[in-house]
Amino acid sequence: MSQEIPKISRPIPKLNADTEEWWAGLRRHELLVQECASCGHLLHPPGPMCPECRSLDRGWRKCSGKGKVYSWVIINRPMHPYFFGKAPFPVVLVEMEEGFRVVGSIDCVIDQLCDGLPVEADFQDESDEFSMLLFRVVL
Amino acid sequence: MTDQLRRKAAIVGIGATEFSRSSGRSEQRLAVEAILEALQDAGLEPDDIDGIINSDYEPTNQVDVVNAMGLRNIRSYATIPHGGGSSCGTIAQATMMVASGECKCVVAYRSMNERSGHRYGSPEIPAAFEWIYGLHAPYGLLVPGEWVAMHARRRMIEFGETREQWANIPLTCRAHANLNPNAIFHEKKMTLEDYLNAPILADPLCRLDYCLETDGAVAYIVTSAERARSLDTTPAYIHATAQAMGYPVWYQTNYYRDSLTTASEIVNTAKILWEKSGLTPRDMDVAQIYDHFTPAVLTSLEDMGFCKKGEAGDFVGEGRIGIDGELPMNTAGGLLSEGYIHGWNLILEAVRQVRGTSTAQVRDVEFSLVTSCLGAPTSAAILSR
Ligand SMILES: [Zn+2]
Repeated sequence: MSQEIPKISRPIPKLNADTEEWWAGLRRHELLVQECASCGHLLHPPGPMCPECRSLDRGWRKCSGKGKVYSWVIINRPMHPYFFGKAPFPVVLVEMEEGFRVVGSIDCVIDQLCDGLPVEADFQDESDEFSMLLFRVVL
Repeated sequence: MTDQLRRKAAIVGIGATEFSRSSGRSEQRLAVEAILEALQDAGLEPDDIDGIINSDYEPTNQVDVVNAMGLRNIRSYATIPHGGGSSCGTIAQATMMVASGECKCVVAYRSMNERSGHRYGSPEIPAAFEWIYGLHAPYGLLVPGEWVAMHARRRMIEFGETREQWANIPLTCRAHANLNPNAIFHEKKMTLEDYLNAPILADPLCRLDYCLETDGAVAYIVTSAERARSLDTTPAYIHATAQAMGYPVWYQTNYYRDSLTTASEIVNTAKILWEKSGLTPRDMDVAQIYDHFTPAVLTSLEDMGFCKKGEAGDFVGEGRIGIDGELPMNTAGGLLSEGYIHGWNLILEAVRQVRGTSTAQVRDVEFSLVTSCLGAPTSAAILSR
């Protein structure tokens, strides 16, 4: 009998009632940002209350997907086994044109990375339940 | 108005185990060894202890300490949250417990087999990542070095900082560790070439930008200023303490703030500390700045007010943070080169500088600063002779 070697899968988020719609947006290939239904304040990461007007009335805005690289890390020595053998790879922090920042992967040559690099959000389906942000460089 | 708690309490005893990569003992045992040494150092007995404090990340339960040491007189206890941000917060808590009259003698302790046991630099592998971690883990940001690197990059972008400038911090810490027989890196020298050639783990951070992973324990004893004077030890009076949260604030992944190069928790802590103390950064004779990662020290120095925003890269150059410099820093070697007891070993060194017993003793120390972790709700304290 052959024994299956357990496969280490990609780390995934654990959702709650405040965050599940944001992830559901990615699954539909939409980048959302939480928008206060009362005062219009945009909030990321999403939360249960507007920190500006304290409204519990939470809404969502679909973003353009356009943004600029704000910072990045190149993972050379991954600490999590899922990423062993995949290094070096970049992770970016992108400032979206709506004014909030979000972390994602990026499809580019590492040397291309620079402050303000224009990017556009794309989506990578990991499973039937889970999609990720994959930014592409705007040429 | 003078702070009501100023010089009302003092650290009168300090204790530590050896710092190593494998203690061969339980964290519970390390904790009680350090506490016993701190009591002996103060000239006090276990029966004198009536208050106990630890940190939320502490693996040794307070009841295990009570049971192990036969502490029968505890009448107040507290745990200060937020990991590396909590270390100086325990001094604030101990001061309040003693100055209020609730306790006469408070012990605080931190014990960890952080190298041979659970390492903070190695990710847990849960099925799914909760809280803020879930936003970053799927992309490959899973441990503190990877999180902090994103902030470090912004220092390079905004201030044009170089790794040669960053190197001054680990090099200074190492030089101080070389003087300290209890430091993990007592024997091992470091050169600029060593730093520049070190493997880049999470670009732009190299291995020598990362703090150590250490097995060991430290403890300290706080009592009233009045009682401190009757003891056969040199008290380090608690001149001022501060705790602050910052806003918004997460743990080491403060990507959603206006700035990645200003830490609002440090700015707020500094404001409270300088107000309460009636002092300024220039009054500090020596400082122990929480050094979990090199660039975090630079941001801490700026946000504490030692130099202007963007100037810390220059500030740490030309020997200014060495023993004879303007701001002698991390004189036992810091978390980068002495050991990583989650910032608590910095408290012990701040006490030694007041006592005049450091292995890298600064001359004529009146005010000795110690800070806690940037990037989480944090704290700081000024000790004085
Ligand atoms: Zn609102």
